[in-house]
Amino acid sequence: MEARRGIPDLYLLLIVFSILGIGIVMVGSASSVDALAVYHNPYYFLERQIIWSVLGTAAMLFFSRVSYWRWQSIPWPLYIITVVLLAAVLVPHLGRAVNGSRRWLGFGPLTVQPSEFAKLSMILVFAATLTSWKVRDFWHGLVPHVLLLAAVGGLVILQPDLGTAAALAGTAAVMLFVAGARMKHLGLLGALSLPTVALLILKTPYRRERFFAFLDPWKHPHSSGYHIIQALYALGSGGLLGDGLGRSRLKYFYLPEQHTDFIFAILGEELGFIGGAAVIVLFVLLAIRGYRIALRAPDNFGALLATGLTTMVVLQAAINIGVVTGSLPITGIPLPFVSYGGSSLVFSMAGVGILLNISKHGLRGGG
Amino acid sequence: MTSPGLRRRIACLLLVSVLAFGALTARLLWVQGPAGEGYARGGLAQRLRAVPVQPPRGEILDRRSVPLAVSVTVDSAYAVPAQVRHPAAEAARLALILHRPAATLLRQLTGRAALVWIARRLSSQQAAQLRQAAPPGVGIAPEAQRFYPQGELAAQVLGFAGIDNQGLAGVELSADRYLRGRPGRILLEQDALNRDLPDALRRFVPPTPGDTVTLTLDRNVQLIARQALRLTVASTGSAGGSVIVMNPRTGGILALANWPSFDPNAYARYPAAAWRNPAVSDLIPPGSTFKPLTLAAALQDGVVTGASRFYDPGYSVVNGVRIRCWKHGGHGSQDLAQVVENSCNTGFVDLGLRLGTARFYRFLERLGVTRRTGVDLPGEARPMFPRERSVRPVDLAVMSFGQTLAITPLGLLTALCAIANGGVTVRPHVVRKVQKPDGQPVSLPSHRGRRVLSRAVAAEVTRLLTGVVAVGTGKKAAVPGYRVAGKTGTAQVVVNGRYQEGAYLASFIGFAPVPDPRVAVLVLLDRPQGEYYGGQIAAPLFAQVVGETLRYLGVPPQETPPAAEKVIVPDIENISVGDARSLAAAAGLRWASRGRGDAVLRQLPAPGSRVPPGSTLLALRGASAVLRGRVRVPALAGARPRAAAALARAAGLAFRAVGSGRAVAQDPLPGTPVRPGSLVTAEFR
Repeated sequence: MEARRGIPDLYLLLIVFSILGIGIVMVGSASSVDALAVYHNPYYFLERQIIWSVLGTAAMLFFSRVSYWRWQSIPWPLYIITVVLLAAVLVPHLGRAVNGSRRWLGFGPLTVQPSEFAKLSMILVFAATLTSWKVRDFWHGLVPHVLLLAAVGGLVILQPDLGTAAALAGTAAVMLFVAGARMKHLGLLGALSLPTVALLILKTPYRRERFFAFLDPWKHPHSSGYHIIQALYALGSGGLLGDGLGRSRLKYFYLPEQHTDFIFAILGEELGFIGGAAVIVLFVLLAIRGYRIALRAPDNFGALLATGLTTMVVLQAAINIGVVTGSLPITGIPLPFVSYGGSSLVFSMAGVGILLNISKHGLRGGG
Repeated sequence: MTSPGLRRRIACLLLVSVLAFGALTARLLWVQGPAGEGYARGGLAQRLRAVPVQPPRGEILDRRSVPLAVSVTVDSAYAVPAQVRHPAAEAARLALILHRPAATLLRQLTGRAALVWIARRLSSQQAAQLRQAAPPGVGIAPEAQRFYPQGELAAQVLGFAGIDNQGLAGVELSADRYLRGRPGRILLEQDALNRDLPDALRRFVPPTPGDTVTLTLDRNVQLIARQALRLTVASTGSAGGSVIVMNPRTGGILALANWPSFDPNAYARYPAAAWRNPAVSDLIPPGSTFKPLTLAAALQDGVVTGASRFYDPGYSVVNGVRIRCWKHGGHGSQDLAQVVENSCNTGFVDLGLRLGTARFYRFLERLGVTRRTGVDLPGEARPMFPRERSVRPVDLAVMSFGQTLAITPLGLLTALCAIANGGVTVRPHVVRKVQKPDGQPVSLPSHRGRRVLSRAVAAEVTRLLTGVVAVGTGKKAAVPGYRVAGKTGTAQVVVNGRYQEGAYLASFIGFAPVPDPRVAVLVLLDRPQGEYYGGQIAAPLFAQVVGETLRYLGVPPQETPPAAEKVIVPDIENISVGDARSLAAAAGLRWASRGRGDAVLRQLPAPGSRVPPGSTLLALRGASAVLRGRVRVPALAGARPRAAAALARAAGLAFRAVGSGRAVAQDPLPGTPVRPGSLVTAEFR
């Protein structure tokens, strides 16, 4: 395994900064009304998102300079830190609860979301372990990974944060698949876990109603269907060309989470289908560049790591857009680089940094 | 190097991602493209708030299109609490302009309502001040306010509309569905917290004005009835009274006056009892005025004829119960005409017993007198008759002369109209026609009369009733120049089912001119002091109303009135010169006036005097201060509080006493013209 230093993938950098730039503009537009009402400063969230973008860019630069092989040697400390942080969130005086979910750890004025850290750390852990363990072996390869994932995923579900758990599980499954797990085994796992998940969702009427609200949001327009209806109103109002930047109507307290999980709806209202499609194209380009880096990685660890990092971003983007367009059940997943949120942005940018580092070592030419 | 299997799987992954995003793009295109318009409409619908715009209420006119109720536009102030920036400071400022407590305003400005009225019906000065101050979140909107140009004239017929222009009483209530109109609305685009959006969309849907309702009422006949009633109530010391003038051919009500009355422009200042229309809502024991119906039933069923003879020893005995006639010693031997002329109870007991309960009831039911008349006025009382099964002969005997049963004055007059109308019933009504704002007529429910009497019987009853006026108990109801049919009535007041000692209802009902009657009139005086026989005090009032109305309607006299007859001078004080002139003309008096101004302050001779026809009625005209619908404050000096209160009440004013003893000072001063219902304060020492 030879290490050749090269130029990082500048296309990836360009794509990420494009999405980030659109995100900053949209956070500023979508949050202004809410920010004025709550903080008496229309730029409250915009200012913070810019600060987080600077910190995220710093994290990206830092991680792009750290040789990615270093992460291969420390899976266990990383895993233990992840578990400890996730457990700490659940401790009453350490974890901060918002809207009934304990997701934040507070250090003075700074709050971080350990689940965002877990998204990154689990990719690093899995890339390392999948490289060394024989994942084709059911008992000695696949099952230990499932147990590792189950512990972390369980802690996240306890917050509760089903969206992050789904993103974690999805990314992990993709990494197991790419690492060579047998389809037979994956199918068996899927067949085993599906009834459990189905039972969890269908058992309580409240969750069932929420889960299936996207199929007919007008059945409960003031409760489970409200978010989706407002998102559809926003997208429909925007039409093909959009109402113009800053001219959203739905952001005037109609659409909840307008600058976080549902920012794509405001984007669609102000910039129209053209704007929404542009963002989707950027994520497709990001997927292409990310998986290209994986394909050209000098070793299996690099390939798995790049696959995981790319998948995490692409999967979250797809689920988020799917939710906002009423195509998927509501899960609280942010749109990477666009939704307001410091932890998500900094850790996503750190992931991009690692991707860039892998690309520096990538093969040239045909690969 | 990476393993080939791994690379194949990554490529597969890439393909899946591109397909997934492709599907999402297609979905987004559907949501924002073909399906988008529907969603956009839904979003707009939830942002639009409708602020209702009240339509102008329809006008109420008399039969000759004189306005009785109109709508004028006034300014009202509203606030949109979400747009008020400094509620405390603004409440303090508004309190100065609107003369309302700042605390109340502050509560309204900080409330949760999307829009709240903070002051209704501003003065023009207040509206101007508010426009100049123009505080954010406070606006001025025009509102329609009801105005009754005739003041308390026909108040209980018209009723009144409330602050939101909803009909609350009288025709305003019963014809509300025509008068109301359809509200329009202003559509405003607002955020989820009810605040205007920047560049908000605004749409105005204009309101549809209410329909114009034309009444059968004639303002001048109403004026004749009101003035005559007031005069008689005052001269007889009655607690109150009613006059109804009806067209016996159609059932259209030409006038319906009650005293005391109220000013619908200031209805809230009168007790709720004053708003009632006793002529429609109160049940009275009709007494002898019911006898024409008994007579008609007996003649129609052939149990008596004009040749029948009756003997009255002063009483009759029915199943061992002795029923006395009103005349001590009895009327002796009489024919049917004399029974009617003398209003002989014994004779009518005989008629009732010859008819029998079943036939008597069938006739009353066909006549419609046992049910509500269905008049288009609210609050009509249902007549009370003993249940047919429980009627014993003695009950039947008493019913024959109008006791143990109770009907409304209007119901009684309606029944009499069937006789006046040649035997065919009419339905009483006040609404003559309804027109949409564009002039299109609205169709009203029509009524077909039932024949309940043959022409011959109706004519015979009428002939017998003319005898009452010509030679019987109702001589004072005679109107010079016209043949009048009528019947006196005197009944004891019933309170909670018991006859009240010394409290009487004096009444007279009748119609003229016979044989082609143009008006049927009922007059009723409640608890007169002193003389209480209907033939003594109600009959002259009837004669005055009928005489003046027929002359006003231009009905030619049937014969030249004997020169010696006298006419009653009408009360023309406190009304406009024009009205006074027409009253004088209707009374057959010559007009003369002194001074300038459009109102009559004093008159000579005094109201109620009896003078030869063609005498001069002198009016002292006053400055325009005394307007239609105004009354003069009476002089209270030297009066004790009870007497002063009675004087004030008689003038239609509210009264407050300070101290005790005799009145030494009063506010306003005597003679000051004020609106009816204004407060007069007197100091006693």
